Amino acid sequence: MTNLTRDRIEASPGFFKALVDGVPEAIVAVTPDGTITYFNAACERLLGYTQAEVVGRNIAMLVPQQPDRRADAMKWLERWAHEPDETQSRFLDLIAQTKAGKQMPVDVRVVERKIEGERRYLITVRDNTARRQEQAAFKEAHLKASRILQIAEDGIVSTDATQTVTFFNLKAEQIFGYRAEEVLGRQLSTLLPERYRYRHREEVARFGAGKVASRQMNERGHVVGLRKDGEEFPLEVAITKVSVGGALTYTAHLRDITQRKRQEEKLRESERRFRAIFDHAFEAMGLLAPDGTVLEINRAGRLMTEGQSQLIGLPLWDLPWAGSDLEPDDSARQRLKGAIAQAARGERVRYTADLRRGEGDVRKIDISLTPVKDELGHVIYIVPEGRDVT
Amino acid sequence: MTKITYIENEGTEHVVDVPDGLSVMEGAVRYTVPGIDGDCGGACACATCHVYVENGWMEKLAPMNELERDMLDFAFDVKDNSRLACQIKVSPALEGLVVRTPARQY
Repeated sequence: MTNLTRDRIEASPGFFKALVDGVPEAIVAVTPDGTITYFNAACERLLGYTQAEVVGRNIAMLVPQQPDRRADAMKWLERWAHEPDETQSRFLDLIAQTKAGKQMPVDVRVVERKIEGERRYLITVRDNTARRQEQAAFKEAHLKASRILQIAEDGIVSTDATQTVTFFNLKAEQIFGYRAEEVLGRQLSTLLPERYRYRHREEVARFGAGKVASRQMNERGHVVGLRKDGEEFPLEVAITKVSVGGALTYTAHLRDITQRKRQEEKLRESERRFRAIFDHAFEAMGLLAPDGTVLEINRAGRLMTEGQSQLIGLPLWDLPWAGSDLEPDDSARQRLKGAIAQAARGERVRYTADLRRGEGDVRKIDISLTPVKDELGHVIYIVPEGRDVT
Repeated sequence: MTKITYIENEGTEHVVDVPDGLSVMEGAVRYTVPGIDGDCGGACACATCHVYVENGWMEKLAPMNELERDMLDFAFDVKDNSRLACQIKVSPALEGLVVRTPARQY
């Protein structure tokens, strides 16, 4: 085909008729009062009417007023005709009805033109059903994911590759005292005391460049957070990274461990106090399991026995008593064993035993075994005490 | 912060503190309250943040402008107490406001 022929075809009057009739885009023309004057083949396929069935009738037959919606099609077509194409009906669908009675949301674009001196609205119509369904499915999935993150029991803070905060959930707000709006767009390091910011930034960047996908930040000591009111507090932080569409996102999962630290310190202090009393008592004292196994023994207790360091885990009656046995024969061990069994049944036992330290040195030891019970009355420990009453 | 109650169409209540200055729509998005979409992002160019304002509150809200009234053309089951949540600005005067979400947004 020569260029000349091609120009002649494109210039022929038949070309434009064939074009609008043939394009796979539904096209309707209406007068300003809504009377349909043109209906192309794609429109016939989309809505099921033939041109003959609709030309001369009002467009309301194609986009009827919905019983549960006020939108009047012609009013909006007129309005959109005077708006730029990209703002027209971007979020707004008219609802079309096919000849078979099926309803479909349609995206319409419209312009007003004068043809041979007469005003016409030239309208394209697209079935928006699939797009709306996809949008709804996407929104649902998005809502589910963001609900989970938003109401998570951990503080969750996400940033982009430049460590600018892009997500700050409700728990994070509670922990730091900031509203999300105050933190979004700011640097993650805002949430740390000044002195840690530089190092932290570098560390996160290094993590971003590395191969590990997630890491517990307090593997290397605890992390200090900074609340809006300036208070510093201990944090437990795990950091993860994901790369979507080539863009790196960091997410920090945070727990305020102020309370836990406080509890730990309380426990340590209580342990210190217990040790102070236990280890500095003048009397020999220990703690036994109900079966007589030594769980703890204090310094005076270790002196009364051989002073060996490895006494824990042995039954009390098998401990090597200092220099000798309680009595020369096995009866002393058996007596102690029996007394422990008695205490394990819940009775307090007290008796005096002779401890012989070599020839003629007999020391009288006042032994007591006190059961310690739990809330249900079961014996969980026995406290043995020994005092030299010679 | 102003306390706003969102009641979903099937009855679930979300009582949340919305920062003053946000819209009721933004408050819903912030707390991921289902049933309020806000497709256009608050530009009053869609009708997907349609809510019903609970009895007694309608008079306390700033009146509807023409654009909002127009957009409500596209909402479903519009009633006398229908508003677009993106056009209601949260302020302490709205402490205790209750809005209900419709059965569908589009």
